[in-house]
Amino acid sequence: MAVLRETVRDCLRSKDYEQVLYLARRERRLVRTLVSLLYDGEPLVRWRAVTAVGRLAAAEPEKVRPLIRRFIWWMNNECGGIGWSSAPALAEIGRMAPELLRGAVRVVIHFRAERMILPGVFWACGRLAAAYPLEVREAVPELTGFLADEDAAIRGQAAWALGEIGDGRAREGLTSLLGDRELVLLYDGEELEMRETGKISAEALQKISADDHKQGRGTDLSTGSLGRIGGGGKKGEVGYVS
Amino acid sequence: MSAELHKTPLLDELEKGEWPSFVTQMKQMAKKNPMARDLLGQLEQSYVDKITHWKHGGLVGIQGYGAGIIGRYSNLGDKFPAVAAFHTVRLHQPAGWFYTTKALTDVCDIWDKYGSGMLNMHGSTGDFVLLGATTDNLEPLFTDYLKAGWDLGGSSSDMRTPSCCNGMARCDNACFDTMELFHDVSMSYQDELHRPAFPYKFKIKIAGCPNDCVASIARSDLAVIGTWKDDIQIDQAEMKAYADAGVDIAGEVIELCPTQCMAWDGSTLKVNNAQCNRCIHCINVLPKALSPGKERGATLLVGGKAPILEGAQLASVFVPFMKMEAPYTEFKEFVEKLWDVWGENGNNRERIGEFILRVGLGNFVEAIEMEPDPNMVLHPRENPYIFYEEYIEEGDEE
Ligand code: SF4
Ligand code: SF4
Repeated sequence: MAVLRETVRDCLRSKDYEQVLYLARRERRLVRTLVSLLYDGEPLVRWRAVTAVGRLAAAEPEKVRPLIRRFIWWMNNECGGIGWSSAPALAEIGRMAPELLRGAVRVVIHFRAERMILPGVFWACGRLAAAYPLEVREAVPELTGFLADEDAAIRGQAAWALGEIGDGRAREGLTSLLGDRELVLLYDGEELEMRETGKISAEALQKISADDHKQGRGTDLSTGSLGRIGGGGKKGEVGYVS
Repeated sequence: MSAELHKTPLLDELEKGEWPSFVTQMKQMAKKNPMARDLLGQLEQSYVDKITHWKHGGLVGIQGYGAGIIGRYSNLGDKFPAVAAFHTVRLHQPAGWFYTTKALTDVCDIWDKYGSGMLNMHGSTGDFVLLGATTDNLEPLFTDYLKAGWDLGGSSSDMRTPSCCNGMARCDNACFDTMELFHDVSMSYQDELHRPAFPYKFKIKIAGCPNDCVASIARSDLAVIGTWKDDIQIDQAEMKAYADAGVDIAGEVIELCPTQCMAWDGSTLKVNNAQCNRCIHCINVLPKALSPGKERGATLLVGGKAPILEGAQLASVFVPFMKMEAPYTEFKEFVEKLWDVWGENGNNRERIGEFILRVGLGNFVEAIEMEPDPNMVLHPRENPYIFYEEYIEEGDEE
């Protein structure tokens, strides 16, 4: 098992996801190994394992389907586990194979109960913006509230997510963070980088303006607009506030 | 810090009587540690209210690990701020619970620096359990323990910290080196221990002989219990010496042998070894005269558990006899096959014993590529529950 783990770790370091998918077809232990690498001591391996779970969901959804409940359980587990990468992995599943996550997407987006894994939850909100635009938008007011959090990782990830969501309601909060010099480790889906929270906010503001521009709108994006009209995200349906 | 202790009239009752009291111990610690002081206050409140004041759950941990620390928060944080966050840290126990004084002192010194100063050792999880750390202290205390040569134990859906009896270190009955197997398993499966990837917890407990002093048959998903294959070794002269010393051999041994496979004529003991089920009773009573056979190893049993989701379950025999020698290749292949089948097909929070009940033992045995064996039984001397499909001709089914 240790050999397979090292092989997969090397694949992730070199972004060879095709090889991971190839191994998944041949090695029954691949899925378990990948799940275990979500906790790896090397942060880049951890994050790329998240990406690999998403790729696997697109290629072989049946291998990933049983993991969804496990990931959610590891976000709520009271017997001493902590699903550091659970929300990000669920987001990648939802991004790459939206149907798989449909029943659980709001559980991820509105999860607020455990502070230690909130940065990962906010990253998930950002990554789910394209696949589930209406659902992530429900979280915008709350995400904006977290821009004032005392923990830089929470502020930074919230700022990044708000940029990905591209909702004008976040402008004021993001602007107030422009001078924030604290550093946050941010994964962009490929690389892991230390970024200044203020710079993340500046980029988020740019993305929001660009989105406005694309949509031919001035300011407010708070109504369903990214491709789906009406229905969906009811206002005030925001779930769990810690 | 105010050194004043909370008033605890109800807890004080528990200090009366002849036995050592945990309340007295907590009070000693409370004089120097505010967490211990507020813990006493909260506990008294719980006795008054007749309800726990720990909130349900809480996720905390160390980056790079998915297990080993159990989050715990008080719902009376305003009243007892020192225990608002009171997380439990599991340290991986050493094989057979042997510590040097220095090792224990190191553990306690680090714990005094970062935690409540209170701990308990080797309950049913096995680990060295440190009670009460704040969230901010988790990373620094973990770094200090790592530097001192310690590591976290298991929790959540991982391979839990194994446990073993101290067999060969202390006990003539030990049929293999339990502590060596423990150490090997723990070191070989560090990833499985620290990075949960199973449907639920998986416990391995190791006992050197059928006395099963670690209660592995009832408390572990995989019980490894020492046994022997050949004949019980008999020293007839020592038998005679026991009889001469007044031991009631017929009443205490022969009649209590569960399979009635022994005979004693007053001077010679005979054992029908083919009928002996290795319960070890006779050896326990007459240790100088009897000992396990020379061909020693272990029986592997799968599926035991305490009640949580389903009821309590004893483990079933899967491998009646396996040699237990380093590097334990055969053993590890067996363990990994269990993990493959259950890991892939088990429902979330389904122990392997529950999984086997759901899919049926016959199907499970087939999935782990084992040949069914009449020794696979749930209880000693019970009918095996396997099917001999090859005996059913196609035409017979109509
Ligand atoms: S299980 Fe057997 S070998 Fe282990 S301590 Fe108990 S009596 Fe000794
Ligand atoms: S080990 Fe148990 S079954 Fe075997 S001879 Fe002794 S008492 Fe009887």
